[in-house]
Amino acid sequence: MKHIMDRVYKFYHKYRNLVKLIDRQTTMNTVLKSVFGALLISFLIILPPSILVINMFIFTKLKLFLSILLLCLVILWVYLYYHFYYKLLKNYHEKIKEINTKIPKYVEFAFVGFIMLTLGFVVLTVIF
Amino acid sequence: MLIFIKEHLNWIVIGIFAYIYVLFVGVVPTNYTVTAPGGLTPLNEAFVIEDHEMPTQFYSVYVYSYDPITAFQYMLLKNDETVVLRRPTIREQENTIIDEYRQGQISKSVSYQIALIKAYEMAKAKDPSIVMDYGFEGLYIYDFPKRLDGIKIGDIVKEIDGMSYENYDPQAFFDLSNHQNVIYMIEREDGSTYEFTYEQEANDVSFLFYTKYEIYDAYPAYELPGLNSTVGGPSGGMLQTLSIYVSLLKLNIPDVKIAGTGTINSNGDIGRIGGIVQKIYTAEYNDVDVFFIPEAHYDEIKHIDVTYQIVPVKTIDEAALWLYEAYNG
Repeated sequence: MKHIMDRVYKFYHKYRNLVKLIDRQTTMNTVLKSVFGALLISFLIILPPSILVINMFIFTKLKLFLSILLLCLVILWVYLYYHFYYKLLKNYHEKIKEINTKIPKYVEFAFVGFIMLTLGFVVLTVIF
Repeated sequence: MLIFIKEHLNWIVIGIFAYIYVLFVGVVPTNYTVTAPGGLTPLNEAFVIEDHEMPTQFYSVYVYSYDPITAFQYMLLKNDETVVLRRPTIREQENTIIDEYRQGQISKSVSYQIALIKAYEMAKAKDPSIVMDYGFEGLYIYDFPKRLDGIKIGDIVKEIDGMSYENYDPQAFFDLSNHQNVIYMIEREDGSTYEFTYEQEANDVSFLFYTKYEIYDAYPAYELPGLNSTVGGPSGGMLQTLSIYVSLLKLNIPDVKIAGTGTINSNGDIGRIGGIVQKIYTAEYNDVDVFFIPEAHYDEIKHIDVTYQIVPVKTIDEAALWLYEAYNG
């Protein structure tokens, strides 16, 4: 148990250090541009499958399945957002290309994804 | 952002046409409307009768109506035998979603009133302590040509060409008018009245009315929590009547799922409804055991394979008799 706690602690420190490194390179302007750019790109990618799934709600038998599928798309949207956020950030700052952005990307995706998943399950439980 | 776009320009150019196509078929509406299978409404939650338990075995059926559908939905549904794809009628094109909602609520409210009246009258024949005192109070306006200003769905016609509803039964009152050139005395929801002169024009849809009954006294007393739900329409009338009747007489019904569809009028006749095929499939998807339908629809659905028993009936008395013989005989 202690071994696992140590690993989690080390991983968290690694994550904090990487975020600090990235923050040192970025400016408010480039962060804002990356945030809005990532939101736009991920939204445009997620839009067509979401529209098709929403269209399919016409099959009442599939409502639960389609709702779960929609929840999966929301989680995918969160992943795509972080993926493009760091991609755009690397485009604005060459130095960030040398930093390992995978850990911050997956940690932040896991955190926000978990919140979305919990909210989604609450909504699904209320509806069905 | 621009760097990103430049890096992926080839993919963006290739994908843009497919992307626009998908958005187009998924969003742009067609000129089609669809009726699709829906679900069951438990009737024990719709009525509360003093000192009586509502049976939990009875359900009415609703279907979904989507208007308009998208091109993608049209592609999905065009070969699906469980749905009906059609172009909307002029009447449907004129009505807004709010109009349709109000129409659904009015027809449901009238259906509840008639179901109570018929169930109490039928039960009274077997138990004289049951009381039902009611009267005809005019005609609800259900639909009208939307070019007319001032009229609202749900207003009540009290006089036709100067003749009051008080001296007529519903059919005779309706027959007073030729409905082409007519003067209506109409009562609004707030109780105020106004006179409306109607002269029919070409392409006008006709006025549609529902009979307004007022229940003055009833024993046992009742409440209608089902009026608060958003599901509307008159097609639950037969099953509503049956469930109230079973509750009033405390009939023993085994643990079966009884559903059905069909309007009811004050004579006890079971009338035709919309979306019968979709309702048959809805019942199949929801594992019902017995399904009552208006006899007039039987030919339309007899080819459909179902796992439950279909009971076609002409009148509510036939339905009640079937129930009694099947479970209490």
